[in-house]
Amino acid sequence: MRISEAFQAALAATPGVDLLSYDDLSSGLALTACGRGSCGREELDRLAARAVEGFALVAGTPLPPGVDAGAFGSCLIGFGPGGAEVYARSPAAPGEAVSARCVPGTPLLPSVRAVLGLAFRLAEGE
Amino acid sequence: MRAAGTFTRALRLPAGGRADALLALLAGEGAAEGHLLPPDPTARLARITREIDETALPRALLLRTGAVEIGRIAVARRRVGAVTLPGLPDEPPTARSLAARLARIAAEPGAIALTVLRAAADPLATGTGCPVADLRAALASTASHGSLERLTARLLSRDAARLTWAGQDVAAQFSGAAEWRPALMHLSAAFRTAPWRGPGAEGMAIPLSGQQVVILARQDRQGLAAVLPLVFGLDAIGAWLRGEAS
Repeated sequence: MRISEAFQAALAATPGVDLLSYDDLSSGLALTACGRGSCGREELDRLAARAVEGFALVAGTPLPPGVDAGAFGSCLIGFGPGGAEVYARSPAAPGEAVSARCVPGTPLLPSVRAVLGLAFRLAEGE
Repeated sequence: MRAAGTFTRALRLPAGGRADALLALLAGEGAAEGHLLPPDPTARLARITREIDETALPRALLLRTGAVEIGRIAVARRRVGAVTLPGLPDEPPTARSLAARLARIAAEPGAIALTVLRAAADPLATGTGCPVADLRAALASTASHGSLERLTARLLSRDAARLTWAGQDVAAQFSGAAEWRPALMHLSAAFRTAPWRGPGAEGMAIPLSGQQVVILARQDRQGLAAVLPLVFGLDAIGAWLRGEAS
């Protein structure tokens, strides 16, 4: 399945998300995106830049025993008065991420699971 | 006739360069003395918005700490055209973005002086600019719905460990399970020093597993890092985003 098709399917199945982008973390740029309604280039690159900041924040964290260091930092949820965003990547492709803008008022956990699952599927080439 | 003659004499200005210098002085930054704003950020914002509300003619409101300019507000017809912060690029002047910049100015440490300067030209095209009522609404919305205090009231009831701080140079206070101390110290170190986008609180949730999450949150120079149950933590953030009462 192509990335754009995977994004269309994920967007349709995840009512809590209205914008998905596929980001290159080394350049901080969105490579492709899919959203309900219009989504400007600035908004996509802002999402990608926040993903880069977020993953840099968690790098090298000394974790207590029992925490899966390989999985830690695979998924981040940024939030502020303007809403919430999810950034997810697979350990198999740490230089790429899926970023998502959440629909205000919707539960976060289903969106987090959907975005993380999408990132893992893309990294595994499904 | 006598009144007209008196008026003419009163307008008689020194000739040549002295007249130009005097006019430049009256039109320039030396025309008004700065006055100090209150120390409380909320009171500072109230004072600034009142000044905007009382400004009909084109003016620039200059804000300084000591001799350092920390912001400049272009105002005319009780509307704001722009809030300029040194070192930051301009952005579209929406009520929210203008409120965010004003909140950053109001949160600056030290005594802030406000000086009203005459503007050389009208900074606003007809029909543009943010009305002061919209600006106040944006400030009130972010202050009440997006506050760190309201978020922490939710979070700090079921945390396994927490790290809190109340200033950039103040040591953070840790409590809870000691095994989490190194992780929370590490995560908060970078989070505390990154630029705050304000107004209102902002944060990052980092799921540890299907059971737990680390939540980092801050507003200006205050903040916390806490380990919480995953579902509880994300539900708390969701409720906070929706503006629900604690």
